[in-house]
Amino acid sequence: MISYLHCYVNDRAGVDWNTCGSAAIATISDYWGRNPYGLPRVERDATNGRWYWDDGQAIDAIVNGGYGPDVVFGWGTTGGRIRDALRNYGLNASVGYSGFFSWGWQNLWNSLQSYVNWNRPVPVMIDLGAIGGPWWGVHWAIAYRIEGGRVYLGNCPWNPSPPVNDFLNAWHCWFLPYGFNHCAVYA
Amino acid sequence: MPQPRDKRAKTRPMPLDQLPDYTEWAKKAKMPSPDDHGEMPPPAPEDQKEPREHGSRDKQERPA
Repeated sequence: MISYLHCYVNDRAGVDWNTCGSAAIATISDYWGRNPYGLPRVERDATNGRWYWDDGQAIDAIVNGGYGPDVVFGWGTTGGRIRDALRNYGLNASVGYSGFFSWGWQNLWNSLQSYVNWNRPVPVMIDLGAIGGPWWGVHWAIAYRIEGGRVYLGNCPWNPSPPVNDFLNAWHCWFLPYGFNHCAVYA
Repeated sequence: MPQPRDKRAKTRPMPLDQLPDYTEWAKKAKMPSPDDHGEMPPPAPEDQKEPREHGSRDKQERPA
């Protein structure tokens, strides 16, 4: 089980308000050893002593590579866009989301647990308001561990380990249309 | 002196009630109907027995 995951962060004020999906692409790409844009490793993570790409440089490379935010008005990134990026980088990626009245959410939750338990971190689209963050804040975090009734989330400073029930409420994103509910990208 | 970076995500909330564009978009976007069952991923490959140590021990690692 993954105990710590270095996650790329959309942390530039005034720039990275809608690039959490790009940060998620960077995290999953690097986890699986892909460096599609030939980025240098310039930042040392003091937690594990390893070297990583600069967050902003990685995000910019992904956006310039054609995999930036694709939701209207630049609101953010769809699961399909993240899937397409990862496939382009040579990963076997799939998107999942629930149907009418959350149809299939239990199976999606089972899949999420299975992927994470097999050491496969999963980008998940969540409503930050359901886990203590700002309401209507839709964000791509990285689920990398599920243990002790909590889901551990990377790039989620608002609440890095919400209880399962809170996470499930956040994952629902009930106010978003079809294709955005219980949405995640599996690789 | 450079300021330390604030390594916290800057994702901005969507104030839906203040965004008339959202209402228009949500109306046009497809709301689920009874025939919509969503999309399921394939079963997780059971081949990643240990966490991957991504990142590099070597700062000078040459880009792939």
